[in-house]
Amino acid sequence: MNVRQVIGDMMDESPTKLGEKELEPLPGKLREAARSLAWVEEAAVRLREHGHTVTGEVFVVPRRDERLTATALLDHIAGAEDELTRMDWRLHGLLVVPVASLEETVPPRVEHGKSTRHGTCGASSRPTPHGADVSYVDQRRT
Amino acid sequence: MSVGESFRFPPDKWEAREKLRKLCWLSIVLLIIASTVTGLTVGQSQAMKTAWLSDILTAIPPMALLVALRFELRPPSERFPEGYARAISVAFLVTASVLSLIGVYLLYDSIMKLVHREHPPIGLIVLFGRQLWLGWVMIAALAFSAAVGILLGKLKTPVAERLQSKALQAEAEMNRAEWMSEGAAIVGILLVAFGFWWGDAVSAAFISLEIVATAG
Repeated sequence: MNVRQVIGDMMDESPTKLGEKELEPLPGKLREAARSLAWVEEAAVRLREHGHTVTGEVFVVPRRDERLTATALLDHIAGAEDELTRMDWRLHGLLVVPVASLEETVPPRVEHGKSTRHGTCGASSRPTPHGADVSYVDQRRT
Repeated sequence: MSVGESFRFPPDKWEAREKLRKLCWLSIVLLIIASTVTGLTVGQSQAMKTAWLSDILTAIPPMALLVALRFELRPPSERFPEGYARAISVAFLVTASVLSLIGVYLLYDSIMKLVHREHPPIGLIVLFGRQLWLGWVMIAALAFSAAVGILLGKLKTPVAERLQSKALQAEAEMNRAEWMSEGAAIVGILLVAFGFWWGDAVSAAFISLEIVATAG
């Protein structure tokens, strides 16, 4: 149990319950709290344990609003960081990151002990930063 | 948002953290005393050698945790921009490794004893002018060492829960492994005394499997 947990820590495993394999519900709670903010359209959370503390990112897609100024957005972000950090005493250095869009908001749940090699999607085609369309091989299978 | 600020514990958790630090010191002191006591009675017995070794090994993780506590709250630096909170994870790694080491060593040791059909000799010593069966001395030393393990495990578990500290939780499990193995050694010595030469090794093997299971 302990060696498995130490390795999990090194691999930035999502926070687990003390002495158990089970994941903590904290990322889901933070996501719900972020989504309930009036200026937020969609949110995704990524957490990891740092010793006694928990850190990570809350990605938010702000609602499209022509009148929303950069200053107001910054205030929103600072406020959200404060509010979300207060949700668990271990949270430290939590970042609220505004993004244009979120493709996937919840990472796929893989049952413990089952192979993760068979991803949900096969070869995908997406634009590269240079604009050319490149077909990627599903590298998860190697 | 700040890149130069270290974590601040809420007051009640800070209290628990101070308790954790005291428990580390208590562990080191008690385990050094216990290893001295077992060390003095080692003699010919392999069981006592193992108990002595595990007393010394179990003193390492609290030392690592004390060092980690010194680093934990340092503000982030140019070299470590994420801060030093993960020092605690390093201490956890040390504890998990020591626990595995004790388990694997104990298992190896007891299997070898069975393979070699070792008949552990337990002689007599002269204490205060009277002859005394060495087994009683060994059992007393093991019982003391086991009591230390039980006490430390009992004290650590609630603090680990309050702090959600995996590092301390693992230490509590290690102390539990230690007292169980010493309990097995006591049973083993009694079995040897009644002529079951394998008693020592078999009881140690069972406990080591349990330890390996918690450690893995």
